[in-house]
Amino acid sequence: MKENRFFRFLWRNWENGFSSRFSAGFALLFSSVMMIVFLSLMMRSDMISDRLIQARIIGANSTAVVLFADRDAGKELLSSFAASQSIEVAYLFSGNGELLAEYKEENAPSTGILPEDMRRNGYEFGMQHLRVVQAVTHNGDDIGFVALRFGLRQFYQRLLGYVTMIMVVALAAFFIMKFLLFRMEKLVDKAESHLDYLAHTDPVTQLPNRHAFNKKLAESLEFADQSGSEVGLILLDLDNFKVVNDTMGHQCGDALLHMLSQRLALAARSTDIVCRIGGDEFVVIMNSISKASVDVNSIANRILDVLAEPFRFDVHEFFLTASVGSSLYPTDAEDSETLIRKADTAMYSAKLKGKNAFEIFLPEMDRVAQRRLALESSLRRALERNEMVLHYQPQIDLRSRTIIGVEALMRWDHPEYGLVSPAEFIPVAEESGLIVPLGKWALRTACLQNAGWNDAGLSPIRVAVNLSARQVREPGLMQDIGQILEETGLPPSQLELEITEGIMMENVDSNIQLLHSLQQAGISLSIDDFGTGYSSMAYLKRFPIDQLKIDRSFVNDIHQGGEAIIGAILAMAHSLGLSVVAEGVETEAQLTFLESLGCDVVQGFYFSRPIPADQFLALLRANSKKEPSDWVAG
Amino acid sequence: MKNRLHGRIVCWLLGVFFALPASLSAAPVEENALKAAFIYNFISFTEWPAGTFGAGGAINLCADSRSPMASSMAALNGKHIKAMRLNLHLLDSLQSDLSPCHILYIDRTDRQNWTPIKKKIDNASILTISDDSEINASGVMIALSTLNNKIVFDIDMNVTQRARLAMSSKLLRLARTVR
Repeated sequence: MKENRFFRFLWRNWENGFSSRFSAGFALLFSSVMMIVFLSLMMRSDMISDRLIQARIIGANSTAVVLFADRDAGKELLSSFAASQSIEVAYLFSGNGELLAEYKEENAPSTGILPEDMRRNGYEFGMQHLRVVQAVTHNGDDIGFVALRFGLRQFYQRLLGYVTMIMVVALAAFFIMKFLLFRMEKLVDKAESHLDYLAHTDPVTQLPNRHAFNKKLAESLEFADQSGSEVGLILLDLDNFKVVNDTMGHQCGDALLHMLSQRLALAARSTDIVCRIGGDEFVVIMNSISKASVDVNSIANRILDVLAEPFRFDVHEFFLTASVGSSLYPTDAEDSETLIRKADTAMYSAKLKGKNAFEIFLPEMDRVAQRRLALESSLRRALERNEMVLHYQPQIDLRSRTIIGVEALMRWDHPEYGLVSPAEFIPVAEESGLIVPLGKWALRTACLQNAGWNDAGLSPIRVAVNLSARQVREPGLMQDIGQILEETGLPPSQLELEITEGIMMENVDSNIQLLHSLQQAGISLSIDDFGTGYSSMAYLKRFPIDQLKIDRSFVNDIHQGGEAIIGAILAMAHSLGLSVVAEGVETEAQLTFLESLGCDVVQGFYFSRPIPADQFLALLRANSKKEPSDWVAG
Repeated sequence: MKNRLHGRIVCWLLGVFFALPASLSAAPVEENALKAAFIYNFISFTEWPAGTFGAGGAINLCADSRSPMASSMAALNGKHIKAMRLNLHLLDSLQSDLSPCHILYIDRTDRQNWTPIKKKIDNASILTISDDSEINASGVMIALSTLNNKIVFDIDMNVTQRARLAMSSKLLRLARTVR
C-alpha cells in the first residue's frame, strides 16, 4: 500500500513536468551530440580532402625533383609548401623507397611515417595525426611518393570551439525552455485547479457539488473505518422551492439558495461538510460523531430552525421549508451508496409526513419503501388487469338539495393487498409517471359513465375529475380531453376538472393558457384543496376558474375555531363570482353552518361516501324521486 | 604490358641515378649514362609547338655518331615519352640535314661546327643540349656540366623561347641558372 502510494507519487511527479523537462533536455542533448558528430565528421572529411589536394599539389610539383633526384630542390619544395599549412612532417621518396627530401616542423615529434606504409595513395586519420600519401607520377608512371603528416591540434581546437558553442547554445535553449515550461506549467496548474474548482463546486452557493460530495463522503467513510467513529448523513430537500423559482425567477431563487447555504454552514459544526447535490437538495456530512443520533438530531433541528427564519430578497419575504432525513454509517449502511439511499428514504418519509419535518432513518422505512417499489411495479399492470375502479361521491346543491354533480375518485383493488388507499398509490403513480395513463383512464371512464347516466334518462349532472401535476404538464392534455369527450359523447359542460393550487402555481403562464382553452371548450374548472397551498390572490382573478373547493381540514375545524376562514373564503369567492364546494362534510352541524354562510355545494360522508357506479346509479334514481329534504346521512 | 615494361625501364633508369652516388668523375661511363638519363628527363619536361609531331610520329634525338655519349644514349632508343617513341639518330656528321631532329645533342666532337650548326637550325624547334663548356657558353638551350661531383644544368630561355619550345617550370626550378 505504502509502496503503491510512493510509486503513484513518483508517477504523478514524472507526469507533472519532470518527464517533459527530462525528455526536452534529452532531445536537446541528443540533437547537440548529433550536431557535434555531424560537424566533426564534416570537418574531418573537409580536412582530409583539403590535405589530399595539398599532397597532390606537392606531388605534382615534385616530379622533376624526383626524376632528377635533386635533394636540395626537394627540400626547398617541401619547406615552401609546408610553411603554409599544418604540416608537421613531409617526406619525398623516390620510386625505390629512398628518402629524397624531408621537412620537419620545429618540435615535431619524430614518430611517424614508415616508408613501408607509404607505398600506396591514401590517408590514415589517427588520434593525433593525419597521414597522407600521394604518389608522384610522371607520364603515367609512379616515380615516387610524397608522405605528409599533419598535426590535428588545430583541427581539435576548432572542433572544441564548435562543441563549446553548441553546448552553450543548447544550455541556453534548455534554460529558456525550462523557463517557458515553468511558466506554462504554472498556467496549466492554474487552469487545472480552476477546472477542478469548477468541477467540484456549485456555482450558485460555492458549496461542494454532487461530484465533490461523493468524494468527500468516501473520504469520511474511510476515515470512520480507520478511527472507528461514525458518520452521519443529513439529506435536506426544499419542499416548495420550485414555486419560488417559477414565480420569482431564477435570480431570486439563486439568491435564496445562497442565503440558505450560508445558514446551513452556520447550523453545521465546523467539521461538517455542507454540499449542494441537486437543484434544491443539500446534504451535510457529519464526521466523527460520538453519540450519533443525538448529534444528528441536534444539527437537523438546527437546520430546520435556521430555515424557519424568513428569507428576504428585494422587498419580498420567503418562507422555505425542507424535509430532512438522516442516516448513520456504519449503523444503517455499510457503503456510501446505501447510506445516501437510506438518508433519502428517511427524507422521503419526512416529506410524506407533511413536509418541513425531520426523520431519522428507521429500518421500517425501508419496508415502506419496498412496499412502494412493489406497488409501483404492480401499478404498472393495474390497468391491464382491470384492477382500477372509479368510485363516485355525490355533490349536493345546498339550495335545491339535489345531486348536481359527482366527484370521480380512483380506487385500486389489488389482488394481494386488497383496496389500496389513494393516499398511498397516487404519490407512487405521480412519481413514476404512471399517473398520466391512470389519469387518462379515469377521465375516459368518468366521461363514459356520465354519458351512460345521460343515456339512462337521468337528469344531467357534472362529473369532476382530478388532474395531476404530471398530466397538466403533458403537452397533449387538451387534445386528449377533446378526443375523450368526442368519443364518449359527453357534453363539455358536464365535465369539471379539479386542479390543486400547487399545480396551478407551478407553471403559471402555460397553465393560464391551458385553463383558458379548457374554459373555451366549455369545461368547468375548480381549484381543489383550496386554502392549504400557496396561492396568490392576484392569480385567482387571472385564472379562468369557476369554483373553489374548500379543503376538508377547514370544514373539520368548524366549531373548533375554523369558522372565520370558511367565512372569509366564501365571501371572497362570491365576490369574485366563484361558486364554493365544501369537502368532507360529516355532521349536520357542519352542514347547518355552511348553509348559514351561503355555501353553494357540499360533498361528504354526511350524504354519501364514494360508492361504486352501480350504487351511485341507484342513489341517483332514488334522488330524482325523493324530495331534497329527505337527504340523510348514508 | 607495355606500360609495365615502360615502368620497369624508368625504374631501371632511376636505379641508375641512385646507384651512382658521389664520384662521377671516377667512372666516365656511368656519368655518361646519368647524362643520358638527364637528356631523357629534359625531353619529358619540354613541350614542342603543336603539330611538330604528326600522328603516330616519333621523337627524334640526334647526335654525332662519334660522340662519347653515343653508346650511353643508345639505351634511350626506342623508349616512349608522352606515348611517342624516342628514336636515336646517330649521324655521321652534324653538317647534314638536321630538320628531322627534335633534339640535338652536341659535345666537344662538334665544338668547331657549333656556330654554323647554330645558324642552320636557328629558330627551328630543336632542343639543343650540350655538355661542352665552350658550346655551353654560346647559345645552347640546356647546358650540362659537372659541379662538385654532381651533374647540374643551366637553361637559356631566350634561345628556347625563340625556338618556340616550352619548358616545364618544374625543370626550370631545378636548373642552376636560367637565363
